[in-house]
Amino acid sequence: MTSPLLVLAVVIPVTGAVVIALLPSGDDTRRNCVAVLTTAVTAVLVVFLVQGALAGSQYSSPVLYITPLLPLVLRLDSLGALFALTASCLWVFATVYSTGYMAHEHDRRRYFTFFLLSLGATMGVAGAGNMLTLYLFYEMLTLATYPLVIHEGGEEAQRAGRKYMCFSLFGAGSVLGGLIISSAVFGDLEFAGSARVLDAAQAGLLTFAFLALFYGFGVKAAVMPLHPWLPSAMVAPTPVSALLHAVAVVKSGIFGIYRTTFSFYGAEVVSDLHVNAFMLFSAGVTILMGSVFALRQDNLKRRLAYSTVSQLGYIVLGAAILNRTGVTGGLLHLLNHALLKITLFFSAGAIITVTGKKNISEMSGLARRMPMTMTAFGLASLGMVGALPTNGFLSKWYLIEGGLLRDAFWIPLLLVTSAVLNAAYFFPIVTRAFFFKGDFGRFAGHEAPPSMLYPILILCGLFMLLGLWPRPTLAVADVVASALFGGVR
Amino acid sequence: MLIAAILIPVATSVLAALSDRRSNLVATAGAVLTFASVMSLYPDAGHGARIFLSLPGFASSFGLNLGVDMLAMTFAAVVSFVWLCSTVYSIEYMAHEENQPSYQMFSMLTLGATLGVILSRDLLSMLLFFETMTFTSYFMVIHSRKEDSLKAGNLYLFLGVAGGLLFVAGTTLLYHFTGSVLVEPMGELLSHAGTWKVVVAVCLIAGLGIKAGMVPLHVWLPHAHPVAPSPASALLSGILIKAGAYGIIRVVSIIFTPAGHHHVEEALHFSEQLGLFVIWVGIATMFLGVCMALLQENAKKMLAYHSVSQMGYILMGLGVAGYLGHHGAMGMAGGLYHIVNHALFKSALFLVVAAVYLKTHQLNMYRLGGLARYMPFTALVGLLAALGISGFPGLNGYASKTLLHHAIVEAAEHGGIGLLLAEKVFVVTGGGTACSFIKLFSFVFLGKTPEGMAKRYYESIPEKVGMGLLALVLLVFGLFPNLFLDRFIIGALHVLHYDASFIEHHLSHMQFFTVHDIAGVFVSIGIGVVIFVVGVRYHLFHWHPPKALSIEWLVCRAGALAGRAIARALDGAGYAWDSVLAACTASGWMIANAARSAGHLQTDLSTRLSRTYRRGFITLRKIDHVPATEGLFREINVGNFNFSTFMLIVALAGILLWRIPFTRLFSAH
Repeated sequence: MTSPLLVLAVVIPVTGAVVIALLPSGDDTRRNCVAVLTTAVTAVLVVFLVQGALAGSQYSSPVLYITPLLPLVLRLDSLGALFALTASCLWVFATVYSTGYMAHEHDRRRYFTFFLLSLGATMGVAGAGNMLTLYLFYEMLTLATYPLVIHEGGEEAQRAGRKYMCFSLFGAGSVLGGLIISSAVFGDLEFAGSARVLDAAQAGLLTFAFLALFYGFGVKAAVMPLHPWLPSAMVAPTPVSALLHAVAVVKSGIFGIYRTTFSFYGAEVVSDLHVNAFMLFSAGVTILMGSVFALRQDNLKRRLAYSTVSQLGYIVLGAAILNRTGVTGGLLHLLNHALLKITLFFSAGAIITVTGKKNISEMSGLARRMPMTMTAFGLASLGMVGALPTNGFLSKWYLIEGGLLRDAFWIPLLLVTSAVLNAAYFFPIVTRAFFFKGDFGRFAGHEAPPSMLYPILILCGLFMLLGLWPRPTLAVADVVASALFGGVR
Repeated sequence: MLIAAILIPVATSVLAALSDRRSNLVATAGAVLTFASVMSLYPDAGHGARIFLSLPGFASSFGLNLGVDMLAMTFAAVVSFVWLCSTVYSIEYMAHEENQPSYQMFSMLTLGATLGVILSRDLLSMLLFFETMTFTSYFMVIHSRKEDSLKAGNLYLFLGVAGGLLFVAGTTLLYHFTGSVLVEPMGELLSHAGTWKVVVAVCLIAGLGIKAGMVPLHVWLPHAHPVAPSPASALLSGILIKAGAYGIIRVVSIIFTPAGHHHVEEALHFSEQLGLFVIWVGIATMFLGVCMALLQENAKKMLAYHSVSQMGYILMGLGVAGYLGHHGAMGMAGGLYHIVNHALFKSALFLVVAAVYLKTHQLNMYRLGGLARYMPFTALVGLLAALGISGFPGLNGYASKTLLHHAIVEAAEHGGIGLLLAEKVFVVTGGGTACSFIKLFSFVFLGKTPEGMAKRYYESIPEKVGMGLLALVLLVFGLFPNLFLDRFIIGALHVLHYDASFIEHHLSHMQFFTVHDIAGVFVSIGIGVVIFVVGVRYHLFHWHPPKALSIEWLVCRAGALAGRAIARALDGAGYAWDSVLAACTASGWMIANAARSAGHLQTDLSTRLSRTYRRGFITLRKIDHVPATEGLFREINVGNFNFSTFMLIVALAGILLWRIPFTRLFSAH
């Protein structure tokens, strides 16, 4: 049904951003209120929309034609709903957290303006009703996040920003090329994946176009040779790293890959093109190499960044497996990884705020100072490894099962190896913080301010709950997966 | 009651964590209640009825399924009993340590998790409890927070997690082939899986074998067991490795027992091959373990190596059971009984050593001596447990070792010359074990007391109760070996679908005290005495084997080498990619530079051009106009140019150009 509500999900954050830009730069109280309120309202709106979308009714906005061949339209289906829900809810936490984290930083007005603009762009990506709209908002997201990446302002930040821009623009160019070719072949840019049939004469062209799209979106999804921007972008303030580089930006790349594979091309066409060997290979390399690189980092945020690279590989793998079980696993992991990684990043940010320590080797005995933060960190690490009572397990289970269904017996091996590597780079942090002797005892129990601590604890509780009682997430992932496969298994 | 058996320890752990000084007492009360609730399950389990308790949707899409049969009952009873003894004992021991609430909390959580492993009816629930057990027992290992315990703890945690993940891999494969993760026989569902059946078996057994201390996966055990507080060592060595063994028994029964007694030739045949393999792994484990144990001077470390060795006995029993298939009840009975007995005497021995350490602060047995006079009760328990582990008639080890001996002889009759050798190794290992404990007992409790240790030590009541309970059960099981066999183990054998008539004829009401069997045991003990005398005479026990001979060293070395090679290769790949990126950046710079210089060139050209134009224009103006005095540069005066005249000229020119027939002008004629 046509409804303006969907447009509001994009407009509200943008309006919020404009309001913040107009407020005087010294007025922190009012700015924080506006920021939190805007994200909260957006989240509530999205929850309302998502309920409808998961129940089967498709909200869509009026169509805006650039030319008769190029329509812009927002339309929320279940896949978009999953992404919108994850991003908008976590944005609320990140904004609350930001108000605490940014209290001692400079240029807060600029920061919050672009923070909300990014939310608007992300909602646009999630709600995009065809590839053109998706591409448009995807580009807007790149532009809106650039000022956040270079927020620190030094030489390092500038360099990271340049890297980010170069890689992103390359990706966007690749996506655009892929879109032009595919639209020439298919005749449209709609999400008509389930109805498409492969015309054998066009297979070569389509293969090329698909790979251009895959690696184009793969830049943001940090598929392996295209990942270097992600670890360098860790110079950004921690809430930005947390939200954009573990949830919104990287997941919009993932979302692009899922859209291309399942909504735009359709699983059948992709499997007929035989391109998923590329996808599987890239995902496998990403999973393994990401973990290995993570092992060798001493800077906590960089280690988390490489871990993100590796975990994003899981989600790409879910798409590459090309069956319903695998996709369920990938989507579960999209959600679970978002929750876990944002908690980990928030904890890292809390550590930086409270102690100023950025390197793991300096964190001996840290848990005496910040017991709750480090407990949350430890639990999230367990989730990353995929130990059973946490939510990370189930996504891994489905991925393995999906891999086995297509007789890819190397997938369980790969995932288990990666999990062992995850344990190898996460547990030493936790044991060091808890059991090594350090000089943090003097201010024992002095945690980060409540605006930072509570988001950590609430998120921690949330993923533990979803670990013990995974039915809701499982049901959502199942609905989405079955929708992507046109309702058949 | 089923859920109570798991929830009581968990609740107790919370209470123990909250109650600061009374945490030991709270934990004891919890252990008593747990034992009671486990024992209350006996009537249901004894009827062969499986209680199913399902929490659908919990933790995974298969939910949480709990149930009890006689096999689970046997293990649960032993676990909760030994835990009770150890916890009572810890009232005294932990009073001398820091952080009692934390110890009791994790101890109780581990108890809950261990019972959970045993009562699980599907592999994922088992995995859940198994991993919980790994993490909570990790805290028991590192309780002292000292350097070596942290190091041992890291190894323990890492291998534990790796084992858990192998288990995951095996479970998913099993699910893929059978569509079920329930703990029930489904051998024939796997018969079409071909080689993958081996992979499933290897993944699951290796994952559990890490916990069970199977050679060569035992590397963590001799490090982790001694560094924990002694009551915890008793539990780790006596109980937790049995959880691994329990898992292996369950897995073997899932994979290799065809459902509903339908024999599938291939399944059984494969089981035979695997059984033979496990027999030899068991033999290797028991022999190497005992060799390493003989060379230790630290009493706790020696006991830890004996745990490895005794697990070898158990594995051998299970191997025989697999080898003889449907008729392998003797091996399985021996293995199960030995699991129970080992739990009893090994935890008793750890508690004895702990009592000695508590009084003298010395673990090196060569620096102790003559303590029997000063701590008579401890010495008595030590004697009983040492005789028990050596298999002395009248104590509990005798019964299970006799069963195992029968089993290996049976297998040898069935299988030929190779297994006869195995039987000889079995006897010699028994000798080594006996020697080892003669050594322990004589060096610690007999002989001359070193300076400063000769004083009366106070043996407190919790200590006496903890050790005494274990010693009592040791003695009862030793004197009435059929008691436990008939009441628990035979039920467990029926659960595992063994040949009922075989059990009826050979195991029910078995005669243990026959001349033949007693003679067999004394041969072993005789060998032990000989080794002891020779060893002491020629100082063989102080020999430090070269590092290259130790399996730990080899495993670690191989692991380190492989790890380094992989890291180097990956680093290489990383650098390669980095250099590709660098090359890209460099070429990008070059292009940018070229563009910049091209830009410069263009700017240059345009400046020059414009300068030339300006000069030309000014020159023209000089001709036309008298220059003003201010200088060269001034405004262009449009005023002295008649614009309308100009437009008129342009218009006329246009008309002319339009009307004049150029084509005719230039045409050929």
